[in-house]
Amino acid sequence: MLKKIRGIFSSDLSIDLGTANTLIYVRDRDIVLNEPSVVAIRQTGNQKSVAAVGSDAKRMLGRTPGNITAIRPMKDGVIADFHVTEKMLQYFISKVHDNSFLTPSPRVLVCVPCKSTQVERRAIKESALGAGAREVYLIDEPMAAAIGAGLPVEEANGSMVVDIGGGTTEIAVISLNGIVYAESVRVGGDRFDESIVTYVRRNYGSLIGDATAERIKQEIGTAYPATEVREIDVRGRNLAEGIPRSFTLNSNEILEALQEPLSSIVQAVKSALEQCPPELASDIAERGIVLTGGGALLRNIDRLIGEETGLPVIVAEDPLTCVARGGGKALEMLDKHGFELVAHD
Amino acid sequence: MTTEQTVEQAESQRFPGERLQTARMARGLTIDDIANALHLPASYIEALENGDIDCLPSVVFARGYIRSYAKFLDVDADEFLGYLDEQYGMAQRSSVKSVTKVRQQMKLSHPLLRLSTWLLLIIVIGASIWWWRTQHELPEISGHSGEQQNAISVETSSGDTLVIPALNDAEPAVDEGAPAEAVSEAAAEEEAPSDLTEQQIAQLQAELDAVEGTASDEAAAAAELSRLQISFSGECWVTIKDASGKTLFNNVRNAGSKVDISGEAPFSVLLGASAGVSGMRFNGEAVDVVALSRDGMARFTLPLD
Repeated sequence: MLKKIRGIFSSDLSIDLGTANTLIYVRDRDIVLNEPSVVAIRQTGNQKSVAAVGSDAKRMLGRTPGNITAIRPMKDGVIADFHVTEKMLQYFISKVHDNSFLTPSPRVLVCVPCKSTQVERRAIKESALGAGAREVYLIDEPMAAAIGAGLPVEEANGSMVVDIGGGTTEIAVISLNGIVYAESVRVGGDRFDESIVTYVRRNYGSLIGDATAERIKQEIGTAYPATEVREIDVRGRNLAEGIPRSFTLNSNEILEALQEPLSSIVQAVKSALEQCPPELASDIAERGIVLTGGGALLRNIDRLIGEETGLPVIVAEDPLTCVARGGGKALEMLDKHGFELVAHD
Repeated sequence: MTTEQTVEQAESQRFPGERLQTARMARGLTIDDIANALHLPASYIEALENGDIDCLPSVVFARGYIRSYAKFLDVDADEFLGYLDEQYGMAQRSSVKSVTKVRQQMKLSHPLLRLSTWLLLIIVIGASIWWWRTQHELPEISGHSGEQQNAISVETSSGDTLVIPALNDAEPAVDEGAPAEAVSEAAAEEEAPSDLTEQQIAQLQAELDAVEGTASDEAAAAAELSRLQISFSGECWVTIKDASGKTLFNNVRNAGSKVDISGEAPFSVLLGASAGVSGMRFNGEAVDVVALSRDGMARFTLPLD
């Protein structure tokens, strides 16, 4: 009853609870929050308290003293630390509402990886409820991504969407508001970073942090050989000498470093096309594959998938926010079309 | 080359596909080269260069193709996309708004919201308390006034109590009984002045005057009050207000029950279901309720004009 009253003062939210970033779309107000899914926990004696959430906490990653731990509570698109996720959601929901008078109690639509288990879905649902949501709906991530990219999901026409997130890559063929085929591989932006760290350690004998690896990926990372070679100066701890050393990396080296995770994604796309019913496969061949998610921002990744599959590949507009925006649209459609789009658990 | 130029001129008002074409030719590429590189059918590339956006699967895909094509030719895709925005009304995606901006937006309304919510809450609570009080106090008030009007007690200085039972009874005077005897005793004492000093007589006289004064005041008040009796044969809502607007009665009566009240005329009477009224007497005179009722409800003032 009290939740219902508080619900009047809350707006409907669509949350893209991602491994790397959490985005919140508020109904009729567009995306209002885009913060890293990081929580810093301070321990005083046996007492644990939240020190920072979001970008503040991300800056602490790998730079914390003994009593503070910066945690990424999501791993591979699902919850790794239930309580911390709950706290993080609670913080984000209240930040979006910013109303200390009444605790917000919104209707929330959360995106979940399509191949997540019942237990993982339940955990996400429970943590959203624990964070103060009045009602929680779950939607498959590729479905939200397709809606957000503006694909005609309701038509009897196959659309293929590849959502490359932080933890997972979701590949789905969608037709008539439903998922015909879905595949989820646990390869994403995080694996790209790890690969870069491994490559630098192996080839330069130096250790770099995840944050540096991410910066390298964003600045010079490429998925397909380009005519223009970019370079970046980085500093890492030399393993042999134990002293920080500076060295220069170029985009071709990063391309080599990313070969393994990229080939997993290409493999998954190919197998999705293989498993796809022929009518839908011809639709996809005619119009092309749509890339969404932060991974789609990796330079020339559309080129790579296009060359490997021989199909047209386009990157969706504003790929980072596609899933959250699609969730928002689904939330608006929820009242009109009922629960057709929402995943049932 | 000349045919291509005429095409360009004819479609200068449309999608600036010719600029893509020019950029392509500047690099010495053919449509087939582009089609192979982007894995698109050559017809799509031609459609793009001719500005036939409607030939492409949908605007979303068209935008994607334009971006890929522009990227391949290393030209800025925004001007082409801007054209699509204009023609197809696809609003430019707003970039992610910062949360601090939201905070500012909320802060403006925040104290206002808080204040108005509290005000609303106080009003609701106040209104419900007021309603509750009016609902529960009314029967009590009418009960009290009925009692007062049935019997008025007058205390004499000697400690005796005079009870005047009904104000609008035919005989409004002092009741027969023990308290009345006290008055007559006092009068008798007055008739035997031999045993009393002048002072005592004066005192008794004053006391007697006081008693008589009270009694006559009451009698005068009784004369002004009117009496209304209603008997019921069915369920009926009754509201009776006196001259000052005070509610004398406000409740539902069932079949067989009666209402007998007195107060200062004129009475305004409301009968919710006048069919349930079997008889009404105002100061002993019968009132025809049926003649006064409309649509089963009666609202009138007594005495009737």
